[in-house]
Amino acid sequence: MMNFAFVIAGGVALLFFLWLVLRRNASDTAAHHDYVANPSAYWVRLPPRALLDRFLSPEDVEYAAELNSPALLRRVVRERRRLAAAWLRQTRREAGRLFLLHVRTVRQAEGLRPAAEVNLVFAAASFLVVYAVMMTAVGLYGPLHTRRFLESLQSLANILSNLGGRIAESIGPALVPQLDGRGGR
Amino acid sequence: MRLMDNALWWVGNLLIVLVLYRAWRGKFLTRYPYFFGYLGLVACFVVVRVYLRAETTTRAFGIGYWISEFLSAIAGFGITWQIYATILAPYRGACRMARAVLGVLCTLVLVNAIMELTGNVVQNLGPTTVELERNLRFVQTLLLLAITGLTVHYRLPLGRNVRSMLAGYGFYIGCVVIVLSLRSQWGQDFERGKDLLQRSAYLTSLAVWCVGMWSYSRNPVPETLIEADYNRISEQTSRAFGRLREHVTQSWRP
Repeated sequence: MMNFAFVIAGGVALLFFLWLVLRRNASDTAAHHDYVANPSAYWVRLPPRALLDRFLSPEDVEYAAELNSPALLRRVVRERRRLAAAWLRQTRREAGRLFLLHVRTVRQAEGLRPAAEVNLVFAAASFLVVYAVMMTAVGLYGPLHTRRFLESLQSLANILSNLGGRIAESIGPALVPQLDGRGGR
Repeated sequence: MRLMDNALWWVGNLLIVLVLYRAWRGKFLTRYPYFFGYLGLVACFVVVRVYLRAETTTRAFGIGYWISEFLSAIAGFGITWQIYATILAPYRGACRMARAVLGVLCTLVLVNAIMELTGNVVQNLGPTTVELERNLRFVQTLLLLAITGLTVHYRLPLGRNVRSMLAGYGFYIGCVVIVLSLRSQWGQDFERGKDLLQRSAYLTSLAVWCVGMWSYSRNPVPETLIEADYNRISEQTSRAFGRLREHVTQSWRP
């Protein structure tokens, strides 16, 4: 009746979770009231965008290329990649901090809603997907190429959006479903 | 081998008696009624089986053995409920929900077993009990997985008693589920190994309970429950994640 691998996986998962429960530090019942009382804990703390613009600017790479030193150019590119990866990792750490903060704060809430919790898990998962895509792109193509790729992606999206607008116009307003002022049909 | 089997049997029984004695001595038998009820029942069944083996026929012993197995399998659910009730005691809503889910699951498994039993009760008792036990163990695996997952995720505080209850029973159930699956996959060749592993897991659980239930340890009570703040906190976190995602994608655009 029950699938062999499914049952084994259930047993192994249970033993793994038990191990996690047992190794957990008993002292981690930190005072969550600090978080609740201090809304600034929910602020997203990331380095300013100017910093990212600075190390993603093509000027430094162009200057290194002009020096005709392949070793220096390689080093500059490698450093840029390392910095971009570090910036991304910092965002992931920030996401982890926010999630942990939420978990610690709501674990004693009386009105905890499973649906809201599942939504938050999806929000965290979607962030992780974006992070993984960016990390892979930076690792494979470098930060400068990734930025150019995003730029072309944005232009493509704009072109598609304009095209969509034109098509809608050419069809005519009578054929497109309209929304009235109250939000109904 | 027979000597070892006897030794394991005796050690197991002594550990059960020791856990019950310590609870009685420490006056905390009533703090965990389902858990100690289960242990008491198991201890009674040991006595009944010894009596049946010594005083009655093989057939009578067989019937008595399967009835006691049947009742132990159902009573085992009590430990799972005890773990849920103790951990979720401060969270009334979650506790109510858990009680309903556990009740429905237990009823479904019981109804299934009773339907299997109808017809020839004596003949069907053995196979039905084995099936009931397997189903109950699997349902309990899922329930324990859920409570351990919640405990890890929300970092729920656990006292020594409930920690040992969860560790001991979870370890036993996890091992039994794996061993029963391997037995069904590898067949009769694994029978001896299955017995040994199952018995070792049982003794390990009893040892864990013996250490953890040596004296009463109250489950930590959360400092203060948050009143009606959940919606605000949930919205804050949602907004923070939105900002973070936006920051990552927008910052990279020139």
